[in-house]
Amino acid sequence: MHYKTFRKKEFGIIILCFFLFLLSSMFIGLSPRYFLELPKMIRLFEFPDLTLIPKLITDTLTTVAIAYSSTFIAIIISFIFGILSAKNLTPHIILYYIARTLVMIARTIPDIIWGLLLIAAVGLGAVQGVFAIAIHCTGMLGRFFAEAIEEINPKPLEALEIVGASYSQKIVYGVIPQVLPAYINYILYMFDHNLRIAIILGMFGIGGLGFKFLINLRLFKYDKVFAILVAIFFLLFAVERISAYLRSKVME
Amino acid sequence: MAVVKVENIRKSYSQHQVLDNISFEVEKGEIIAVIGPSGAGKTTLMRCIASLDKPDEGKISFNGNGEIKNGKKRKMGMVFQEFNLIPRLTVLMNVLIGRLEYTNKLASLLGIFSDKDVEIALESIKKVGLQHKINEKVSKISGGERQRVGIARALTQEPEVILADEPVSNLDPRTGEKILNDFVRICKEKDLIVIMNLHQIDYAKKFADRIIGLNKGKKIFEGTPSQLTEKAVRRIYM
Repeated sequence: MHYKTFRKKEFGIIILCFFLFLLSSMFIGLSPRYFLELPKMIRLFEFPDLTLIPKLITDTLTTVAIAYSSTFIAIIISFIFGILSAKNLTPHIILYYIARTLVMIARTIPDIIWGLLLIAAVGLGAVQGVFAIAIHCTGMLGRFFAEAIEEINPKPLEALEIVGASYSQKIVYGVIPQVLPAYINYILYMFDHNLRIAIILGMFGIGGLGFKFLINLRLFKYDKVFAILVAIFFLLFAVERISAYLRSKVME
Repeated sequence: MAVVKVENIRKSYSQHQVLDNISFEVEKGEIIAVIGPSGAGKTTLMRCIASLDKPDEGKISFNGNGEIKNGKKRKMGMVFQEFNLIPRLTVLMNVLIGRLEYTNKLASLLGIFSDKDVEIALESIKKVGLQHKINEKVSKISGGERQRVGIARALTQEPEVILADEPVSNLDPRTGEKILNDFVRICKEKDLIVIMNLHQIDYAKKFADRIIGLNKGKKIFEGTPSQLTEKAVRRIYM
């Protein structure tokens, strides 16, 4: 007696994946030769000029402030949009479609493109970075929040209906306690993401660590470049540790 | 003088008749048990009385004043099979939810309740015997204690009617009987109307003043526990 564990279809999908990889490699001219050139990056290495680190404090604060304020703005707007675009909670089906469409547009266009558009329209500055990141982040959080609301247990809401609670009381007592852990999880994830985008957008002129990185790279000052990388590493590492701590607190 | 009057209720879901011409009246202080096999329409009947569902035909009135609706202050509390509490909130907060219609709306959104509301909530918690657990999160207490919180929440509404949809079928028999006993005793003390769906016939006989038997959406039986003979039970569960 033979038992089939893997089926032809599953093998087919794996083979298809390999085939698509081959096709994409040919399209962009990827060849194994390039893997051998990766070690060239090591030749760039110069010992980081650690005396630069204290001077990076203002730039680090700029980057963190951009990420923090954009996440904060996005949370406020997404909170409202999340409620409007959740099927089970929206006050009206027309509001549902409007909110969903706006959130979808904000999400589909990447934050870096929002940033370049704003810089093109308004000029360089940290504020443009804040708005660019906030718009895209609203697109992400708006959707996450709506999904979290759609997944809540509807039973406690029936109890609130029976006691004659108003719409806003239902949200505060029936919805928020249920979605809070998920919300905090998404917010922490997006803050981490926004910090990285703030660094990248920095290179386009909104200031902060990214800007310093690009200037020194252009000037071939690799000791300074690696010092900035050290700063970026510790910043992101610290944020990751703090997020993990907050998450464990929320899950209790 | 009937206080709750159910008249010719019909309800169907996609061609399936769930309630077929149900009528009965309940007077002040009466304990009614509704029994019947699964799918007899017990829960739908309860949801219609609670106005969580709308009957297709018929009328449910309360004190002679038309339907019991959302909007005007409710004199009807409900105890649920699955308790329907908010696990992350404390016992006190869950019970205070019973005051939401009476309290200042804006203050309640910030979690502020008047001393009077808190007093009423604490009184209900004491009645169900959970005064030592007021600040525990509901997720940390046992199933039986959760249903006690559910009962306290209903009492905090200061209702005249309490509906209970299989209040103890999610609990082990010993805990269930104890809680049902306390529940009925408290409601008797306060002279409340209780309409409850029960799965267990012996509980219905022990705790109810009057029993209504449903089968396939029809009222098959209505009478006192002593009138519920072996034969009547067989007809209900046919």
